[in-house]
Amino acid sequence: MMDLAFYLVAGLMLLSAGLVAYRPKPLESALWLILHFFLTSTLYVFLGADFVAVVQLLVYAGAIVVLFTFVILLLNLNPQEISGGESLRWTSTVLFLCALGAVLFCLHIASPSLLEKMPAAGPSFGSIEAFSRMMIQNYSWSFEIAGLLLLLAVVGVGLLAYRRPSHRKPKDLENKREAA
Amino acid sequence: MEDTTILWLFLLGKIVLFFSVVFGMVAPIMIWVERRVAGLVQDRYGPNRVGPFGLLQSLADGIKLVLKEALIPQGVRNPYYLLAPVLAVVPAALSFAVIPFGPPTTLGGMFETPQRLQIANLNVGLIFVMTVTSLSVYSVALAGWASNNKFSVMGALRASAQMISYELAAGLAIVSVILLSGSVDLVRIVETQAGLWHIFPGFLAFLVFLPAIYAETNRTPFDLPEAEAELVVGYHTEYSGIKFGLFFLSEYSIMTTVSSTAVLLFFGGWNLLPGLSWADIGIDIQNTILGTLMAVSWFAAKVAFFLFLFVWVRWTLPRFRYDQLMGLGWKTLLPLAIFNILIIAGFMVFA
Amino acid sequence: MVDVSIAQLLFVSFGIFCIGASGFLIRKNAISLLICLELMLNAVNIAFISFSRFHNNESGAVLYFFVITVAACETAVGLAIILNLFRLKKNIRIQEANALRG
Repeated sequence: MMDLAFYLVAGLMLLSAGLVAYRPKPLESALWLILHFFLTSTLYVFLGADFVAVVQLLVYAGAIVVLFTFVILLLNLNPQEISGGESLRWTSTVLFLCALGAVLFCLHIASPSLLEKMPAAGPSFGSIEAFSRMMIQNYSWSFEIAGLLLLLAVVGVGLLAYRRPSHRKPKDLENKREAA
Repeated sequence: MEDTTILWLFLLGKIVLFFSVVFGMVAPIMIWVERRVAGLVQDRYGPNRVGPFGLLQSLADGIKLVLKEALIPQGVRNPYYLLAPVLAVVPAALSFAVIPFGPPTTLGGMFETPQRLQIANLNVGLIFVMTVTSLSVYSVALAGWASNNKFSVMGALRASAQMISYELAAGLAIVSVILLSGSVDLVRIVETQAGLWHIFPGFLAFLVFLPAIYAETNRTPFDLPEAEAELVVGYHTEYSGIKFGLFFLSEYSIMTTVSSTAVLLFFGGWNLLPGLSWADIGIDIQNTILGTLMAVSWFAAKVAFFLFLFVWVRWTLPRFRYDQLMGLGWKTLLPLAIFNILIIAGFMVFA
Repeated sequence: MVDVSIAQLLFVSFGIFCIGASGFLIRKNAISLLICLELMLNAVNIAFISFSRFHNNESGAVLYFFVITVAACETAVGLAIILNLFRLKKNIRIQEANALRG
């Protein structure tokens, strides 16, 4: 029964990924992406990684896609801008599907041990304590550098998106009033 | 081990209880409280015609909303216009899955091991509450944008920018509580407040958390996005009838969620008093039904006080201007929250 | 909680990666490109967590966090660049952004 649930979730993930990649309007892509992230979070819960599942929702679905949604709504593009000329080029799709099939085939013939059920997880797998212990003990440098990276991103975005406020001279306003 | 059918029935009972109480009772009662307290503060009567003391006013309003014409204005972007109220209610309902409303209890011997009074026993319950609060931004943004109305778009952008700014401050205030209690499980956090409530070492955290949750729910003094004088109700101008009712319902549900979170994190949940526990006065909250009911009612009373505080502040304080609001969130509350984490960490190490 | 083999999870991950990559190659809208990029990063995350579960080692989850951090930074900076592109050219078609200056 749980296997059926896994196949359902995996199938819906692939379907929603296809909808994300092939819908003409970016806002629809963003909304299907939210669904895709929810399904990914469900998959992580199936694997027993609770903390990772909740963080996936918090960061990806709750912050990154919100950022996308804001930019899409703010830019407020003409419908022509978005859907004009979005012809699907099937060659790239077919190419990747062939690559997918090739990888499947290789997985099947290479190592039959890959097709066995996974060994049971440890008792504290996926808990926040085990995760934080691993991160602070073994990856503390990377953690600090990730913090620095986030700081750089914040500063960079502030610099890139800053627009000097345009100062309108009072002379222009007078001209407009006379002309009106 | 328990009989699984009893456990399933208990789960069903919890779900039914939660949804009937929160969506069926808290929202209408809060609307009545809001309007009566507004009248009290403004030295006038609130609604007092419909039923004794105006108690049936909420019911009348609900019936009116449901029976109104389901109007869809011309030119709205249709799937998003209808999706936005749904996206408002779903996170509001989802967040109740992890809020415990009482101590783990055997309900007077019905169960062998104490069962939690939470619908979903997540290890990471507190982070789930934060997650779900941050998902409620979508309904605001989509509602405003889909409404084909410039004022709605402005209201929506302001409201969502405000919500994501204050989420950060609230999250950092929560981090200090996680430091103090050593766990993100909400029941564990209440259990660690058996002696000293987290409000005492974490007073600054509470001082940051409270304005942050007012801004998260778009309540005064942070309700410029839905201010009637400036923006004609803002992002839900074009919604009428049951669609508006859903937005309203979600606002009160999220208010209840964040009030419950504030009580669980800072005010000891169902613990009696900062030094006194239920066991000290001889009440067993785990094994007797009466004890459990008393603990649950005490928790409900605290949550009710916080809900009343929401209403009281709304009708007392004037609203912030938008730049004052954003300045408060980024330049005051966020540094204060970071400073507070340092203080709490120092407290944990040296005391 | 569920009994699957690592091959099935890797298949899902690679499938999502392929769909994201093919979407990335055919889109003309800059924001849609970034969204397909997020799909690809999500596929990689699934692979990390599956391997973490397979070897019962939390390093996979830690690397997942770093991938999320990088994805967030890159999305923010990419969207800021797109905003500037929009201010300059009043549209965000990728083919139009082919001049080195102006």
